[in-house]
Amino acid sequence: MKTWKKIILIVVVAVAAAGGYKGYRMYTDGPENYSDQKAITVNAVSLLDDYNKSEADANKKYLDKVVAVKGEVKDVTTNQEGQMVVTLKTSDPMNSINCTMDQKDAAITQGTNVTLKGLCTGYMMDVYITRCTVVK
Amino acid sequence: MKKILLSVFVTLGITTANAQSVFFTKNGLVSFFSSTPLENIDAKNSAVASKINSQTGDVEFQMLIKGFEFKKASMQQHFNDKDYMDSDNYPKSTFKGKITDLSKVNFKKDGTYAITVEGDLTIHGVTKKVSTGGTITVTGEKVNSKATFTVVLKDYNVSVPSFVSKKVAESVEVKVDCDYQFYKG
Repeated sequence: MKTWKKIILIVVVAVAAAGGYKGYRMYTDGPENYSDQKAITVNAVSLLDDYNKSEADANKKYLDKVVAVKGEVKDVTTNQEGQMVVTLKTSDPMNSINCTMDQKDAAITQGTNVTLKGLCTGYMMDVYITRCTVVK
Repeated sequence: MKKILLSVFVTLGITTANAQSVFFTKNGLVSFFSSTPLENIDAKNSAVASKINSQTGDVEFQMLIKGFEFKKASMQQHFNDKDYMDSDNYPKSTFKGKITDLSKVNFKKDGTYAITVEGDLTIHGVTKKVSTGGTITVTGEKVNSKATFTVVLKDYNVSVPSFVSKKVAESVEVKVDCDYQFYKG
């Protein structure tokens, strides 16, 4: 009977601690860090081709996943939030891989080849990758 | 021969006219804010696709739900959850409508013009007719659109689970702020 009570007590304490930790994390954590996560490597041309072929299938493969996209820099601009936006060339002259950079000091030049790692958020003409960092 | 040339010129003329009337962005800004007794929640999406046709008044917005960024990973995760925005099944939110008082806007003259936009707003797979006030600002070849409106979550079948209802408001204030470029084809 006594051991039985002890087990319950331990379980209750463990659950409370886990819950407390989760609650603590919910109030204190920052945004997710993608730069040190494992990524799906894909080149810019086939990433857009996959989406043009079937958005649903491509979403199963890439949506909400960390991807490392390799491609030629088409353009470097700044968005309204002051973040660097790098577009990568695809086989489609109108549409690109649209990468918003997390990294502020990234040295990226038009026409060079880069690999950018970030979260794939989906497709709307361009394929969008956010929170990007340069993979060396 | 003359006919062919004429038709070529006419076609080119039409294409140019159409191209000149469209302003677009692929990286516009939409943010939302909600305050609750416990904390304020705000998120930003700086990869919003939008276009405005200055001749017809047609306005379109498209955004990826997973493109909303929060200050905390747990909030972002909750927002995308199956029991909230369910962004795996509904990855986009769209607005398709018209500027109803387009004649108020002079796209060739710098200035800020108050407008009304009406159309279909789709969130979480549910489409509703909405109408909101906003502004169009013309600065040379650049155009900016701004609007602020309230979205009531239950209108779009977004349910707030009772155990988090203190943390998640029942309506959110949405802000649109998009810088457009002239569409050069």
